[in-house]
Amino acid sequence: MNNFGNRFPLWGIIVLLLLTTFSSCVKDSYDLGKGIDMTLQLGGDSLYLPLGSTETFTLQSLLGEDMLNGVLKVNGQGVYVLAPEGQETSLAMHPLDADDFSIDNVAVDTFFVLPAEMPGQQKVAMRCPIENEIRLDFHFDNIPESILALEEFTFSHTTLNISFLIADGPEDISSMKPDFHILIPDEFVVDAAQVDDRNRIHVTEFNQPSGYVASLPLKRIIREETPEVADRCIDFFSTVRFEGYIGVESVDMTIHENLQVTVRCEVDRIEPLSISGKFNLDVEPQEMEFAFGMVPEALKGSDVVLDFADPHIHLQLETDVDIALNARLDIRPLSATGEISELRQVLDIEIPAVSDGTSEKLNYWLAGSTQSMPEGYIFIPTDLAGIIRQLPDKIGMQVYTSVDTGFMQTIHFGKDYSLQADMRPEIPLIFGPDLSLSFCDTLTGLPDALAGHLAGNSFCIYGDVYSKFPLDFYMQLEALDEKAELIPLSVSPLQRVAAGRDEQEKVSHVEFQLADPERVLDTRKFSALRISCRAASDAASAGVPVTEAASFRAVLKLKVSGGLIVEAN
Amino acid sequence: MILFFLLEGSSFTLNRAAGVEYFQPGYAYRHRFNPAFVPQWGYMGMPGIGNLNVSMASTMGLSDFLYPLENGKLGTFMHPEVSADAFLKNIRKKNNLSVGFDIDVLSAGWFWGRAFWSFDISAKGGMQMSIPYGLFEFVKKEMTANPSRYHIKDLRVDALAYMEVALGHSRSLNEEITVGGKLKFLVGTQMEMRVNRMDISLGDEAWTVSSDADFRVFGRLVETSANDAYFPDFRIGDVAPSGYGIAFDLGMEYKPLFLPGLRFSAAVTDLGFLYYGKNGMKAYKAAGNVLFDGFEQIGMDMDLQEEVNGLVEDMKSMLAWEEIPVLKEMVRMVNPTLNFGVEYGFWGNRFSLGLLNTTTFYPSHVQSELSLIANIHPARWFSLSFSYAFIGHREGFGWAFNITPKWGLNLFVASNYTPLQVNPQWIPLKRAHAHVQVGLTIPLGNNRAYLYDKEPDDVNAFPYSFRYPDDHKNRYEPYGYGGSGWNEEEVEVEEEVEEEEEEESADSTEGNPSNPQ
Repeated sequence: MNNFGNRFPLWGIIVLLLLTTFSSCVKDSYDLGKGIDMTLQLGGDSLYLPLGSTETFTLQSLLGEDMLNGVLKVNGQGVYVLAPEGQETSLAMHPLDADDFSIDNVAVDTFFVLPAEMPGQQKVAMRCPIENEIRLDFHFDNIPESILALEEFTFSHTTLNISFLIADGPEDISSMKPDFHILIPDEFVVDAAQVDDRNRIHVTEFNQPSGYVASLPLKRIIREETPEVADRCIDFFSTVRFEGYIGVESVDMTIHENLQVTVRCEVDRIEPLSISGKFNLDVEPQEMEFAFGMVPEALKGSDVVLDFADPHIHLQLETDVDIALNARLDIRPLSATGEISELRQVLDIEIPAVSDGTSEKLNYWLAGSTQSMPEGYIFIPTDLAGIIRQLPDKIGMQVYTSVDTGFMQTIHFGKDYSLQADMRPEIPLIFGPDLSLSFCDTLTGLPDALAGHLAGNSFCIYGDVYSKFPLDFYMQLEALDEKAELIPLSVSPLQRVAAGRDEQEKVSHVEFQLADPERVLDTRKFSALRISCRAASDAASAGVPVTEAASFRAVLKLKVSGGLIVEAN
Repeated sequence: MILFFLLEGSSFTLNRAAGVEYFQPGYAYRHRFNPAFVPQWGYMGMPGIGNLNVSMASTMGLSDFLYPLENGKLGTFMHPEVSADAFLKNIRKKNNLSVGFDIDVLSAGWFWGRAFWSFDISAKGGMQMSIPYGLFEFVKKEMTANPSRYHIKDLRVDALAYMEVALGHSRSLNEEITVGGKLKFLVGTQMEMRVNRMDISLGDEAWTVSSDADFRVFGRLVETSANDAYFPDFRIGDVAPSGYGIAFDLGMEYKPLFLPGLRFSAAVTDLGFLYYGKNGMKAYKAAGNVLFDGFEQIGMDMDLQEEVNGLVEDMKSMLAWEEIPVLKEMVRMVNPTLNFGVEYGFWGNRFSLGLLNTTTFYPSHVQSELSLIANIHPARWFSLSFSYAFIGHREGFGWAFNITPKWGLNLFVASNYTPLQVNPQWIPLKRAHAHVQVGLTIPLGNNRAYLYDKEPDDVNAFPYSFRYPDDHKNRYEPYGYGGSGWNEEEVEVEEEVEEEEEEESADSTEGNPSNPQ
């Protein structure tokens, strides 16, 4: 017993126990000292997550109130329109004054003789024929260059004075019985009551002791032949003719000698009230500009084709001009680098004369078609869509106003005219089939769990898009690295969101997948997501306006194949 | 969190199951496994450390949660290299974790008359958790289909702490049968949480979680605070005991005469209950549904953080515990344990082999194991045991030794579980079990085995005889022994024995003069 105890000393037994205890198999592969890789796969084989539904996006919610307070507006029909701030311009005209003319009075005298005897007649009943004429020569010089032709003058206080005086005639002039006509030239328009319908004065008795005197208010002079102004001068003449007889009826009266008759014609106080003719008035050109400053950037891209279906400019003219005018609109798109001359368009507008003393408003519709033109407008064919096929920074417009020289017109001297123009472009968001509008946005600040650990995996955002937009959208997602450079991941092709209608929502299923089978993301960090979108229209959706009711919303889901790989360290 | 709880958490099983020390004759507290057992000595436990037990048991181990990766490191079971099948094949239908402690405050055992008596005041506590397979499956697999559905039920957490005052008694009925019993008075508190149902559906249409859970605190909440809107806020110190109860240990040992050295034993311990009155309980219920079918109104102005916060609030609301009235008193079982043992001693009882089955009934699960135990008694003052548990939730070696010098303190150290496979940090790979038991007692009286070796024909309550191992009769003698009733012959014999003991001690400490033995 004692020996047995000696063979098993206490400490030896304890050591044996310890050896037994610690002789268990130690597995180095589970050495915590090597560190624990805290890479976690969350979500299992495929993480599905309902992302939820987006708000209902309208153009207003996408662009913001500021944008709507700018160029983009909603018209009365609820249609979105690009409507740059309208411009008004006023043109004051003061074409001519009477002082612009230098016209001298015209007076011409002539003489003829009444013979004492007439062959074959008795002296107590003699009839002396009168046949004479007076030529009035007019000469106007220093005519303003703007007057190309003059056809008619209108006068206010001008008189045509005619005198027929017999020198040394009988004491009783009543014994002389005149019977002749004074033929006023047709160019002269006098008071109709003083002439007959053939513009003649029939003189049957003398109104003066020595003869006959007439003073006729000269209203107009009309000269239809050779009205053109040459060298700022006009020369013309008119002839006043005297035709008839003067009879001597008293038997006691004996004419012993020939009588001298003095005939005088005078145009006095030539003060033109208006003139008719052709004019080339010098009117200063008017400049107008319409800026598209605050429009969505997406509309300004270089690869954008804005096939607007019905852009138009509403031009209203308020005029009191009683002469017909021509306006030439020189429309030029302007970019930051200057004028885009190849898209320049020149439009001619006729502005009819209004009645003297009135004012009228004239409405013009500058558009490609009359499809939306209201009543009462004058259509001016304009390829406005061509000008804004790529939206310029501005549209510049020069207005050259001129008087229509195609016919004679009347200008009243000293009169002021005004011509006010109000021009409002309106470009409804109605697109044709050639629309191609690309834009993109970048989502940054992606959760690390999603963005940073997709190496070798893929994720897919999918769901249904409900669209009332009358446009097709083609969308794609792409991954960007920290330098905003494209990471060559495998992405799904363009996804189409089909066009809908205000009254008919269209549902499109979309799947945006990004996969990294080549493990590119091992070396590049997925930092941002670029959403590329191209809006287009086709034959079916072309011509449908984008209204306030146009909207889309999406119900989206997320699938992360392979789950989320998270570093929990 | 569960992983770290399992690997790093120090938790304790309430009822320390019998193990390697079951057949240790020198272990003073054997009567705790079977009240019919009596120790080699009368004893008095050192206050606080007379018998100190801490233990942890789990059906899961480190290798269930960490896996070697291709890069040489370890990865968690959530690592993408670890397939769901590889992880889940190690997960059971119910995965249990039990932790606990058992501390003797005051204890003593003595022989009196024809019986052995014991008295204990001890503190016991522990927690059990039962995690269903579905929870692990959900955590690992999450989404393998669209939708993926999980129905998790019976996630339970129980905790119990109580003071026990026990009085035990053991006596031999005849030469073959010894019986014993123990009466325990209990004062305790308890907590139990039941996640009755958690239905989870994950798909691209919606994520839904529906749950129903109960939470009960069997104790008077001395202080409560409503700071947390979701969970009743109280601290351990705020919960005062409110349960009172009794428990019994019953056991027997059968030593058939036809084959000396063969011993059968059976016992049930902690068969009892704690009673909680209505006023001593708080009950809460959390039931709700959380539906996440995506964010609403995703847009440019959306505050994602606010949306996420709202979702988190919804999730929290599912865990909002609403106090419900306690309608009736409740009685809770104390976790009873069944121990069945058979031992055969040979070679003069210097060696014995035993087979032990121990089964503990926890609220959340039943834990049973079968162990083969080898015992070596090289000297009267020393014994050594080894065990191997081969059927049950823990597999591995256990060991125990007991030292009882003639004069001095009795030291007992044991570990019921020494894992077979560990990592370099000595963390069990397969099933995380840990158990440490230290006992320090003051022996009272003489070594019963030694004493009756001198009188082999006398009554010997202790089964072992080192002097006459082959013909020891284990004979019943109703008047043969007693703590204070020894006759003069016994005393003389005892003196001779002491002389022999001293000789043995001198032999064993030869070459080490500083050793008092």
